[in-house]
Amino acid sequence: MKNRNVQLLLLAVITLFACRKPKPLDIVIPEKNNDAVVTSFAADNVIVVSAGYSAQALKKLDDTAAGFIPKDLLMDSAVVTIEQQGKQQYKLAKASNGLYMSDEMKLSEKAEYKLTITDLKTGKITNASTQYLPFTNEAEVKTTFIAGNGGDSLLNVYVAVSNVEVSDRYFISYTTLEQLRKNAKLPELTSLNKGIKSIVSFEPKKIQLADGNKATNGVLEHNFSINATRRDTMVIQIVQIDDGYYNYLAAYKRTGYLINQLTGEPINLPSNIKPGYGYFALYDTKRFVFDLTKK
Amino acid sequence: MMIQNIMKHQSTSIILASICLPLQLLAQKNSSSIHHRPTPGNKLEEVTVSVHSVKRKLFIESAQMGKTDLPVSLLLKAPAIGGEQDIIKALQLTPGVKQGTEGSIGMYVRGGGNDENLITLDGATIYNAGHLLGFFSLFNNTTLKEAQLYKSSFPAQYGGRMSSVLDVRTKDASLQDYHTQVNIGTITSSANVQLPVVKDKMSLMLAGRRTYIDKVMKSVPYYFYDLNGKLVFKADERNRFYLSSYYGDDVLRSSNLNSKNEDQKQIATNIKMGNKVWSAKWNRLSANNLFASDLNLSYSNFKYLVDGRADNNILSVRSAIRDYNGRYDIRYSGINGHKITSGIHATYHYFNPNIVNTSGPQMALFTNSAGKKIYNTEAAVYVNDEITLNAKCLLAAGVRLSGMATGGKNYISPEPRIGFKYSLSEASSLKLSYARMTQYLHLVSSSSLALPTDLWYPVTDNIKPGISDQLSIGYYHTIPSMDISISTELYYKRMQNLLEYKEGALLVMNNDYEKELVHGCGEAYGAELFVSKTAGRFTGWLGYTLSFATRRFDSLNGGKQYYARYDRRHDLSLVAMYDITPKWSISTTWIYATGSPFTGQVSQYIVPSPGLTGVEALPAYTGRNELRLSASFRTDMDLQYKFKVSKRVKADAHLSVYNVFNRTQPYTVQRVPDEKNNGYKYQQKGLFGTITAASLNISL
Repeated sequence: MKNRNVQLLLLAVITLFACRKPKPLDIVIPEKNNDAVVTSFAADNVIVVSAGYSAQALKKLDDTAAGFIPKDLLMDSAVVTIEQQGKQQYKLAKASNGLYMSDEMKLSEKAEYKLTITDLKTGKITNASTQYLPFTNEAEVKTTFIAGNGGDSLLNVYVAVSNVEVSDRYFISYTTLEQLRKNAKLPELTSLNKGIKSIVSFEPKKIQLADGNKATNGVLEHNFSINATRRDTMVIQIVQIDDGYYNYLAAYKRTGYLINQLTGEPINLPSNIKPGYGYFALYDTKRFVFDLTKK
Repeated sequence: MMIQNIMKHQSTSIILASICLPLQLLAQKNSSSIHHRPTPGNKLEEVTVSVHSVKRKLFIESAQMGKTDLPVSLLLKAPAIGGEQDIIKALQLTPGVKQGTEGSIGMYVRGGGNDENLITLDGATIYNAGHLLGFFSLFNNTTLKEAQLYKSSFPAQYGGRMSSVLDVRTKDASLQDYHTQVNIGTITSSANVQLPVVKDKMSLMLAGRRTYIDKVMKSVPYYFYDLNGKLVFKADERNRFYLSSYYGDDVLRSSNLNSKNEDQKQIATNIKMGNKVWSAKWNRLSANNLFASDLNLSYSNFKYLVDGRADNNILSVRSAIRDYNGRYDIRYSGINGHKITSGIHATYHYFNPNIVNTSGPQMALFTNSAGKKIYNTEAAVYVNDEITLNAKCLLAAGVRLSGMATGGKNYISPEPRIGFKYSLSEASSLKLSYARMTQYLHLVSSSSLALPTDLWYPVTDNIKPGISDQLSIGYYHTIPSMDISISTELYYKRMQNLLEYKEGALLVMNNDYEKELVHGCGEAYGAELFVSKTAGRFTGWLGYTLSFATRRFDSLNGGKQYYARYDRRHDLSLVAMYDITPKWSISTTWIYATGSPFTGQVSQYIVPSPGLTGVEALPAYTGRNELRLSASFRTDMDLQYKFKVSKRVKADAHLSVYNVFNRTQPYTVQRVPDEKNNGYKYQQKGLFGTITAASLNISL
C-alpha cells in the first residue's frame, strides 16, 4: 500500500513538473532619441532633403503604418543649406514640416557638396558631404515576360549601361503605376508639390545594385526578374551613385535578411550624417517607362 | 614498466603521457582496480593497479595541461534534458567550455568559436556532431568507451583546429563474452550488441539509435538515427586491427502530394543531413615492447540536402564535404628518460558547398549552380619528446609542421608545442605550456544553431588559415585519502585570421561566399578551477571559469573591439552524484553563468521612401555585443533505481527533471507590446522550462 502511494505521488509530481514553461524575463535597455535623421532625393533638377529626429526604441510609431511621420519626429524649424566647396551656397525652402527643397540648384558633375542643417529649436548643427554624379552614360533597358499569366507574371528586366568605368556604381529601381496609385498619399505641400510628384515612388528595397567591376569592355549588363501584372505600366530608373551611398543601399537592401539574433547580428546602416542617421546623396536619374499591356 | 607495457600493447591513441592509456582501459572495466596477469611472452611481474591512484599520479606527474579526462560513465551520470544524457553536454559542465544556445551541443572552448573544436570518432573527423539543429550529439552513449577533451597543451599529434580537440573512442567488444544493452528514453531509444565473432580473435559491436518524434507527433515528420559498428581483430599478441563506422542522418519529410484536395497547392519538403564515417586502424607492438605504431585510414562524409516543391516549381540546395585521411603514428621509449612520439598525417578534402538546382516557372528568380568545387590537401608531420630532466622536472617538447595546398597557394605553418612540469611534492605540481594550433577550415555561421547556412569553408588564395597561440600555467593538487583532484589554470590565447560574415551578408542563394567573409583577430584569457571526485559513494565535480573573450575585425563594429558571442564572465557548474543505497542514487547539477553579450536596439528612426509616399521605421543598435543578457541559473536532477530483471538481466530506471525551478535561461531579447504602459518593452526568452522524463536502461 505504501509503495502504491509513493508511486501515485511520483506520478503526480511528474504531471506537475512535466509541462512547465518559464516566464520571459524583462530587461531594461538604455534608450537614445533626438539624433538627426536626414535623407535626400533628387530628380529632374529638384533636390529634396528630409530632416527629422530619431525616437526611443520603445516608442510606438502608429502613424508610420499610415505612411506619415509623427510630427514630433519632424524637424519643422531648420535652416538647410547645400554648398559647393568655395562656391555658391543654396538655401533650401521649407516645403512642409521636415521637408526642404530647391529646384534652382545647378549641380556640377563630380563636385563635392556639403549639407548643413541648423536646427533652430535646439541649435544643433548637422553636416553631411557627398559627390554629385549625373547619369551621362548610354543605357538600354528591355523587359520580357518569361512566365505566368495575368497578375501573376514573371518579368525579366535586362539593363545595359555603356561607357562604364571599374569604379562606377549604379542602382536600378523599379515600380509600376498601379503601385504608385496605391501609395499616392502625398502630404499637403506648397507650390513645389509638382516637382516632388515627378519623383516617383521607388521602394528602396526593390532596387538592384550594379558594380562597374562586372562590366565587360565598358558595358555593364544586369538581369533581374520581378513579379508584375500584364495590365500595368512599369517604370525603371537608373542612377549613378558614389561608393558611400552604394554601401548604404546595399546594407539597406539586406536588412530584410537580418530578422533577429538567431539568424544574424543586427547592424546599423552606414551613414554620412554627422551626427545622425540616414544618408545625403545627390544624383541624376535616367528613367524608362514600359506599357506592359503591349508585351 | 608493467603499465607502460600494457599501454604499448593496448593503446588506442597516442598521447604525451602515454601512461594514461592503460588507465582508460582500466576505467572501461568499470572497477576501481585491475588484476593483470601477463602472457608468458612478457616477462612481467604480477601487479595490482588502482585506477584512481594511478590516474591521480598522472594528474600530478604528466606535463599535460588543459585536459578533461573524466570517465565516460561519470560524465553520463550528469542529468540531461529529456533524460537524454549526452557526452558533449556533460563536457559543457567542465571549466573552460561554454555552451551555446540552451540545450545545444555547441562548445566554445576558452574563447574560441564552435568551429574551432576538432571532434573525432575513432580517429575520423566529424564535421557536424549534432542532430536536431544541434540539440543532440551524434554520439550514442551505449557505444562510448572514452572521451578526452584537450583545451591547451595540445599533444603534437593533434592539429587542424584552434581551440580544442575532442577525441571520442567507441567500445571494443569483448573477445570472450556477449553483451547487450538497450536504452529506452522519452525522445530516443538505442541498442548495443557486442559479440565475439571468433572467440579470443575477433569481436563485433553493432549499435543503433533512433528518435520517435515523427511517430509520437504526427505533425512533425522528423527523425534522426545513428548506426555504429566496430570490428576488432586480434591477429596475435602484438597486432590488432580495428574497423569502425558511423552512419547517421537527420530527416524531415513533409508532403501533401497525396492529398485528395485538388484545389490545394502541392507542396513537399525534404531535408536530409548527415555524416558517414569509416576508419580502419592497425595497432602494432614491437617484440621488445619499446616501439609501437598505429596506421589509421579514415573517410568522413558530411552532406545536406534541402528539397522544396510547390506544384511544378522545384528548388534543391545541397552541400557536401568529403575527407580521405591517412596517418601513421609511432611511439618509442628505447632511450632512457625519453618518450618519443612521431607521425605523419595527410588529408585530401573535397568541398562542394551550395549546389542549387531549380525547375519550374517561378524558379527563374533563382539561378542553377553546380556549386564551387574545392579540392585541398592538408598534411602534417610531427615529433614530440617527453624528457625526464630529473625527479621533479619533466619537459615535453615537440613541433608539428602542417600545411595546406590549395589550387593556387600553399600554406605552411610550424606549430611548436611545449609543456613543462615541476613537482612540488608527491601530491602537487606546477605546470606551464605553450601551443600553437593552425586551422585550415572555417565554419562560417550566422547563427547559434546548426543551420544549413552554416558552411565549412577551406582556406583559399584569399581566405587565410586561422592561428591560435595559447600560453597556460597551472597548479595541480590531489588529496588521495578523499579521492579528490584539484587543478587551477590561467590561460591567455591569441587568435588570428578568424572569419565572420560581413555585416548584412547575403547568405541565401549566394554562390560566392568568399566575398561575404571578413578576417579579424581575437583574444581570450581567464582562470579555471576544477575539483573532481571520481570514486566513492559521493562523486562529481565543481568547475568555475572566469573568462574574457574579445574579437576585432576592421570591417565590423566600426573596427572597434567587441565581446565574442559567448563571452561569459563567470561560469560555475557543480555536478554531484550520490549513491543513497546500492539500488538508489541521485545526481544533480547546479549551473550559474553570466549572460551572453548581445546587440540591442536603443533607438529608431523613420526614413521616407524616395517618392515621399511611404515611410519606414529603421532600428538603431548599440555597438556589437555591447549589452548583456541576464545571468542564467539552472538546477537539474536525476533519480536512478537499479534492479535485476532476471539473473543475467540488469536494469536501471531514471526519472530526470531538467530545470527544476523552471527558470528562464535567456537566449534572445524581443520587443513585445507592454499592455500596462500602452507601449513596448524588452523581454528575454528561454527555450526550455521544466522537462520531466523517464528512461530505462537494460543490459545483459
